[in-house]
Amino acid sequence: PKPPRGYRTSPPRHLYPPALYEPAVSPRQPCPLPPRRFRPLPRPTVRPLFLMANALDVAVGAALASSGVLIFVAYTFWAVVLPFVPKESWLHGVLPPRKWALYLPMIALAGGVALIAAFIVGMTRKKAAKK
Amino acid sequence: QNFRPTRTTHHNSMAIHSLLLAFPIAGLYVAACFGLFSDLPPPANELIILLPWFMLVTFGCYSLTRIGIGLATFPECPNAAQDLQEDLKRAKQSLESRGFTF
Repeated sequence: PKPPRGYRTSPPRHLYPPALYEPAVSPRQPCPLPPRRFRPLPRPTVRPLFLMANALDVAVGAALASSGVLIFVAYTFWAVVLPFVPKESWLHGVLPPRKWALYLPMIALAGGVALIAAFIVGMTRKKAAKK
Repeated sequence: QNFRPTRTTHHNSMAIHSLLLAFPIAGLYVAACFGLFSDLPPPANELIILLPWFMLVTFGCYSLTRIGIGLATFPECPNAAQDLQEDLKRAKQSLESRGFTF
């Protein structure tokens, strides 16, 4: 779009006297040296254009991810959603009692800590036996 | 006059002092287990007692899912594997020459 007709590019000289607003130093002299240009480096490695993954890795990874999602959805439904469905539903008889929604994470936590402790103790014993 | 700045605690100790918040929350939870929130409607009391264990299960499932996705999408790099093996061998040799045992 075009600027309006009275548009000024320089400030009015009676309001902005050049003696005050001119720079104190003169313009910089141009550099006598030629401009610096460097030779481009060669490409370091030649990589394949596609990325492939191991089939076993994909299978195990998919199993882990899907089990994680499944466990989360099932536990959330059992522990959080189930109290809000009516008491006369057939679900309440089919699914285990909700006190297990509290016991299973406790058991899992205790079991996990026990596993880690056993691993550490085994490692220290092996180290002490080797020494 | 030299005034003291408003906040005088170091950010390191501030971070550790914020962990002190765990004690009142744990006390509230123990009280809830012993019937502090019994007068609320029944689902509320059960959900409050269930909340930390639900958070634990959520964290476990999320980490499992993330590890699975990372394992499934990680591309093969046999060159890097070879270099890594050679690095391990060299590191082991240099450390054993200096006296470390594995």
